[in-house]
Amino acid sequence: MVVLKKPLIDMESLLPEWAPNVHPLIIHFPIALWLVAVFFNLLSLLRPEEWIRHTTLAMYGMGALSAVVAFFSGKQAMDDVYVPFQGEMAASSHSDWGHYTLYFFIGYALLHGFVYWKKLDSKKIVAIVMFVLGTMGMGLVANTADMGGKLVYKHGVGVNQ
Amino acid sequence: MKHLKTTIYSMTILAALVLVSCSQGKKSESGGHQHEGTEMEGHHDDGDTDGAAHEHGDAEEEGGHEHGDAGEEGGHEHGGGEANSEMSSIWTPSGEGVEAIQSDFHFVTGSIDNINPEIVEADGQSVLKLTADGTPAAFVFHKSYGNIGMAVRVNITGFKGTTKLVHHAQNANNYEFVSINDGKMRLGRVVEGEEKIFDEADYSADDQWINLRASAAGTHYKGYIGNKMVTHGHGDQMKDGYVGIMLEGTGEVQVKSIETAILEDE
Repeated sequence: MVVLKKPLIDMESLLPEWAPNVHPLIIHFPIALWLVAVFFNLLSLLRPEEWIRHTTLAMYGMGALSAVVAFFSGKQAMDDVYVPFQGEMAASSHSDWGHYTLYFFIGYALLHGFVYWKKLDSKKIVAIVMFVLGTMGMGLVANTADMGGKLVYKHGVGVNQ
Repeated sequence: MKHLKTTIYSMTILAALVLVSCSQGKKSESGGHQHEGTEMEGHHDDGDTDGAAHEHGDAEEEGGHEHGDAGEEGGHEHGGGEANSEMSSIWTPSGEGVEAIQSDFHFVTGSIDNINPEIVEADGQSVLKLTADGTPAAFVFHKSYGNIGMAVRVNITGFKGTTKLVHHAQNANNYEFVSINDGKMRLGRVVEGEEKIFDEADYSADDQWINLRASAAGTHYKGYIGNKMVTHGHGDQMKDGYVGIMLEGTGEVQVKSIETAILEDE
């Protein structure tokens, strides 16, 4: 007979009463971290100092990691919440953009790590291209957030459920 | 000087990207059509399996009267009632069974003889009673749709077999579906007669009347019982097609309403 051990911490009990799931608590991390990463990236173009390069890489790395967590929490949330018909397209788009953002963040963070490791960013053109790519990540996350915002504030998904 | 140039270029690119993102958001906001029918959906979905039967009963009654009135004027109104917009419509049975089916639906497989439609009274409202003889039969609305949501208030307790909500139906060999049979929901599609299942899961319903919902939004397909999503799958978008109900089995199926909602791009 299989006896399932009770988890030490019931994750759901840690959620605030108003939160339908953990997704709305996590989702702001990749947004904020990526924005800060882009800011440090810009700073590194102006002042190519080591500590700024380190920070930029760390921020992009953490941004990508938090995007992974946000993605899986979103996947779980989407299966739990009730979506009215007119919110289904927003839900579908939010999910699709979430995929694109995740793949981009991971790919970019790995690329940025490689560029950092090989010190390729000592060439100005490479540094600028990396910065431009980083800002494109903001565009992706903005689109994903736009759809997520519509789900909640236009269609009321995850509200009072 | 060099740094200053780089900064200006970078800031310009950053500003352009942010502007593009923002304007996209606004564009879709202004283009988005506020859907009036969601209130109606809410009535349908409330408490199907969550034990809020009283609330739902009231809502159903209201909906029933509204559509009953509409039906008196125009026979079997598809899209009657003031809560319906061009985006959403609710079909409720009225009049005589055979006429109700023949005027609002056509068959992609089987025929009217295989389901023997009658309109009966249940819980103070008209209900479409179908008695299936075992021959697969699918009746669909005349209009075809792309991205679509569909909700059917149905009682299958007297039916042995598979009840399917079909959409993107071209013919009997090409359609997508959400089916329920013996506590199991399956979501998939049939292409050239070959069935492909995207997802399947068990469900339970406390009430005899369940609100079976299906949605096809882009490449995302879902099946719900009441407010609870049971199945979720992904596949390529199919060509526009008809939506309706398919019965594969024998016995009695009762239908209180069929709601269809066109899903608009955001």
